[in-house]
Amino acid sequence: MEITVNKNGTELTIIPIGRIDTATAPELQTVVDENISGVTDLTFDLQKLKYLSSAGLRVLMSTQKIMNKQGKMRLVHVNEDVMDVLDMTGLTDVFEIE
Amino acid sequence: MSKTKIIKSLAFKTTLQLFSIIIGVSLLAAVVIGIYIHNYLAAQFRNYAYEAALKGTAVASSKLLTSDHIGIDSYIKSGKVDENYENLFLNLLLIKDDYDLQRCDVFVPHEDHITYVISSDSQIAGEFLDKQDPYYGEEKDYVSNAMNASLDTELDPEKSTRQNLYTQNVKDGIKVVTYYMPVLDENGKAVAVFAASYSSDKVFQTMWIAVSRIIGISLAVMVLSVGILFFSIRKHVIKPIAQLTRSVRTMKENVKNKQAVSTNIRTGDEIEELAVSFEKMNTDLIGYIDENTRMTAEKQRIDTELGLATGIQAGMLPDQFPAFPDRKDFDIYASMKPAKEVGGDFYDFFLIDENRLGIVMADVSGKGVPAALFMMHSKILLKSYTLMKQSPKAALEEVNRQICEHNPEQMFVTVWLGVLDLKTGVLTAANAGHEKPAVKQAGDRFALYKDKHGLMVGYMDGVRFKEYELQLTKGAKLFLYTDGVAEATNANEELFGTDRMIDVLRTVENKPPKEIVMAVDAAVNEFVGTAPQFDDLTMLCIEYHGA
Repeated sequence: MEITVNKNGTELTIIPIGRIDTATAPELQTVVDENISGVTDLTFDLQKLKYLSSAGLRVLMSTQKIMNKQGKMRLVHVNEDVMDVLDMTGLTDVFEIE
Repeated sequence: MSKTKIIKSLAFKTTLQLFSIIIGVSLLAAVVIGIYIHNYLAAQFRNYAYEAALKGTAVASSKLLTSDHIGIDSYIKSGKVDENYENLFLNLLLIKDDYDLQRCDVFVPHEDHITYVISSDSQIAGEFLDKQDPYYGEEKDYVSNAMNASLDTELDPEKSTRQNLYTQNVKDGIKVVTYYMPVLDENGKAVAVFAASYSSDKVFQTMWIAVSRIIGISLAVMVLSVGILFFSIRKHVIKPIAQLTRSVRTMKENVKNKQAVSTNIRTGDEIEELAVSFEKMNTDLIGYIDENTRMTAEKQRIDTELGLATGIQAGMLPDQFPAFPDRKDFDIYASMKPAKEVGGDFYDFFLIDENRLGIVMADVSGKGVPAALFMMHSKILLKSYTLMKQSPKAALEEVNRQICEHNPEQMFVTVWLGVLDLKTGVLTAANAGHEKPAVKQAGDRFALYKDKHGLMVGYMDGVRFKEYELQLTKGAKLFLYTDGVAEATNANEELFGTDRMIDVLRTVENKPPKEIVMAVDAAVNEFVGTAPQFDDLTMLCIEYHGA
């Protein structure tokens, strides 16, 4: 997996490319931990995400909890496969999805 | 075998290199010394020839011109010799021998020929021939130089004008240097030329003797030095190295016996340094091996404990089949294969009362020991609250509340929880973020059942779950699984997927639950091939026979 990070003041965009599974989820967690301080507007661009496992969901969910306190978070360009996972886990109601 | 090889190669390499260096230096020295000696000898020989020429000139002057006043012309004209002339010839031979000359002559130069007066060459000795001369004919310039020279100035060796008077040429096949000197009469006028030739090959011969002596001596010195060096290398380098080699060979034993090595090499140089380093390495190695042994023991302990944990975890799941041998109204089979020693997936089933069966399929986020601990907690809570509340919705909400209370690692678990009324066939279920179940009604085929989904358990306190009912017909089958099935991945990173799963289920849909589970398990294994099992693989199948 590759992760592209764009930070512009308090706006942060994270673009994971490939698969987020048990092996790669810690990388995403590290990227979030390193960049989230002071961010009020967080966007996950999931256009190039092929697969999202429960470990990856856990990272998104814990990030959502942090962003609930300091701003807002949204998921953009969610493809069908990832949307299925979000549907199944009931997380479509928790995340702001565009 | 290899020991001798080391000794050979080291000593011979060094010796060979030294030989090449010394031979190179000797050759260079021989050339330089040879050139020097040659130049020195050449000068020396020229001086001899010069002296010979001077002396010969003097003798010739006295014998030819002064004693009986006979004069050169009378000898030439009469062609007669007397005692005085014989005397001069003997003197000439003496000079030739004394000064190691090739030949010496007295002749009178003319415009286009020379007339010999006397010669050390026996072939023309005593003859007064007027002829073109092969010996001196080519060197007219030097001859005329000699005729015009004045003894006082130009012949003085200190004034260095002798170059005009000698030349080098090959004559009669021999390389010679010839000196030309004027023979003067009582008035100091040159009347003839005295020519003294010496062989410059002699200079080379003499030089060669000197140079070969130098080479001989240096070779002897060289062989001696290299011999000394050879034994010195053997003593100070090769023997300590061989000793070190023996220590290295026995290192394995020493380390095994935890015995420090002492090489006893005290040469006071780099080899001792190497030996000391080796001794230290040996000691360090013993330390590392100790450390490694401890770590291995620790790992074995963890492995043992994990093995026990696997047993405990597996033991917590109902794994005796048939599970309810005396019940004819349903048949159930389930299996769990963790990706690591302990897993986060689990299934459960239990009779709530005589007519109701609780069924659980769940997947904890993450893997290994943390997932297993969370799984135990979840499993106990789910069973307890299902028994207590008897409604999937109420049980999930209570379990969620309990888990959210203390969940610092923010772990969660997806749960499909159902209660099957065995009398009526009504299945009441709630899905907390879990995979969709596959259902096959009697006479129909297996298909995914699009049930209502709620959030997974453990994410957020106060979540409401949705409950739904499904009427199972007699002979209906329900297949539950975790994402380990749907997301099993092969070497090409392709997912097994629910479509493939449904296809497999349909091929065995008329078989009993055990065979259905085993068929899906086999299909997943075949699909994954050599790729490592990355997720837990858990399945449950129940067939409802009806009351």
